[in-house]
Amino acid sequence: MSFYAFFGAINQGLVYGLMALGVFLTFRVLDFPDLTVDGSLPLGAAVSAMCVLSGVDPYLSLIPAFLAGFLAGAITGFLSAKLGILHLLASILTMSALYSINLRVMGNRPNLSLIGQDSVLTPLREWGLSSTLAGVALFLVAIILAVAFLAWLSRTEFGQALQATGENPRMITSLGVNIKVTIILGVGLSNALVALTGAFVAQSQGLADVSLGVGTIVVGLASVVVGETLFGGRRSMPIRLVAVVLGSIIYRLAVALALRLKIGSFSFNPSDLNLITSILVVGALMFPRLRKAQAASRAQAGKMNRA
Amino acid sequence: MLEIRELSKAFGRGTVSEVQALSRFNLAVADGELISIIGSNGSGKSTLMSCLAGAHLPDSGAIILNQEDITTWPEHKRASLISRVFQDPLSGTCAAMTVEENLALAHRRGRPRGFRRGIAREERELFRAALAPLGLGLEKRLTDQVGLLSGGQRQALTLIMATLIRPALLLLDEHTAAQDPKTASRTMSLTMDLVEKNRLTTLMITHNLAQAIDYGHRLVMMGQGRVFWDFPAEEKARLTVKSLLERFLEASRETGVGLSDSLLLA
Ligand SMILES: Nc1ncnc2c1ncn2[C@@H]1O[C@H](COP(=O)(O)OP(=O)(O)OP(=O)(O)O)[C@@H](O)[C@H]1O
Ligand SMILES: [Mg+2]
Repeated sequence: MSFYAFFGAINQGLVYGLMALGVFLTFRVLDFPDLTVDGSLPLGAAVSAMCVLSGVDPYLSLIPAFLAGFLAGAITGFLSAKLGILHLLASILTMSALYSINLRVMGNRPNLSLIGQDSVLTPLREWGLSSTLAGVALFLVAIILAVAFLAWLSRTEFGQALQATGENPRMITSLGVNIKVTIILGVGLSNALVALTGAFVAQSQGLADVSLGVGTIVVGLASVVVGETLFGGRRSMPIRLVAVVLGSIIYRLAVALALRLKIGSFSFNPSDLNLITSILVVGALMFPRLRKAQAASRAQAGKMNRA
Repeated sequence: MLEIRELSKAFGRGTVSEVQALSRFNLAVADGELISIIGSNGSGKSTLMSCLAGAHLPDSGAIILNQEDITTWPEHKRASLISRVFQDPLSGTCAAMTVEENLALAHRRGRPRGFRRGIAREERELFRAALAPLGLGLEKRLTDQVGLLSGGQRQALTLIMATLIRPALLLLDEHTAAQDPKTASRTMSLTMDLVEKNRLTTLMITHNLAQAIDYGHRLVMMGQGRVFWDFPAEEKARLTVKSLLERFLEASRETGVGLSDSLLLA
């Protein structure tokens, strides 16, 4: 793999690592399968792009993007926790609504070009870094801050209540926590991270596009399960968070390699990515179950031998 | 002081499987009083606790705790007054979290959760002191994941969690059912110590008739969602397992409910 392709993959792995942390928060911590992310990623991109185009500082534009994502997630949480709509369906409803909203945000255009605009990478590029390396440096800092923040949060009273909400809602309710509130805030925070990713991606690519979010959830899940498969599931929260980020990077490296693969005249092209990723996720999700089935059949065989 | 007035609760209303789990249930519990509750399977004991804790809203009736009508309070709000040990030993704890994290969650029962540390350093000493009387060695396992504990150990932990902050009402639903006889009797005497020391108003469900007679200040037998017998202290003192079992069979015949195996064995 070329130097360029390698750092390109690292760059992507880091920036989408923020999104994967958001997916981890809903899927693993809250046990809330949330598809809102497919809509909140382009939402963050659109909000940030509109801000930059209207002259807002690129770094300041991250704040409204973050808040917009939070709001989107909070709406999904509200639909599910307060109105009693099944979580998966609630998130699909928000995701679908976001498609219209994202077009509105971008002034009824399917995409916005940011070419020639200042971006979050501009200051680093002025120091002479290539845009890929500038991205690696910036997103590395961002992901370290995000992991540190989430690790800190997980040890606060609120963070502990959030974890208990996902694991035993009955118990934590009996201890006085309103799980409707923890769900709304948790799904909100998750989507805020995803929207932040969207803002970074739009600025570093110079383009915000309504279709930017297609398959986000699958990529996020892939990062989570790759991280868990490689680094083990039941560990302390900081290690699990780092595993998600490493999962995201490894996923991007694997994809970069797959795209260079040539078998005879066959090769993958970038549009095959969603298919490959889905297959990867199915495999990784089946992995623990296969191991369990294997152990069970071994135990069964042992029993038969004894009999 | 807890007053339960004419409490009714039906499940599956209007369907073929309609069950009247509580039917105009009345009971008054004095401060610091522990009432043992017995009754056949399905007689509405757990439903009573769920209604008191707020997990189910009753169809009618009122719940008055310390002069306050809490009938329609949401469950999380009642948690500031009521604590509960569930019948299912796994329901009261978080398996993926550690013993001390579970205790810390319970130590904040009924308080808003902010961004302070989830476990303060000085709490650990308190947790160890609270766990030691169980005699299960849990005080040495504060950082173990609760999923590694046995069902009986988890149930014991839940009792400690429920009493870490003094509740105005303590609800125990077969809280020794998952424990071996030795641990169960130890848990029972610890329960009585905690009740006496903190003057806890307590409802305790049990299927163990001897336990129901030996512990507590009053004994209530439920049948078909109502109080079938209510033995005050003096009458309870004269009860034997045999005479209680006779009353129980009588109640079961009258209410047409079969007797559970667990009771016959008790
Ligand atoms: N959530 C529910 N939905 C429908 N029916 C229920 C529900 N909870 C309880 N019931 C029914 O209400 C009746 C009383 O149940 P409850 O759990 O209160 O009995 P119990 O006295 O605690 O029995 P056990 O001794 O077996 O624990 C039963 O017939 C039960 O089937
Ligand atoms: Mg019960």
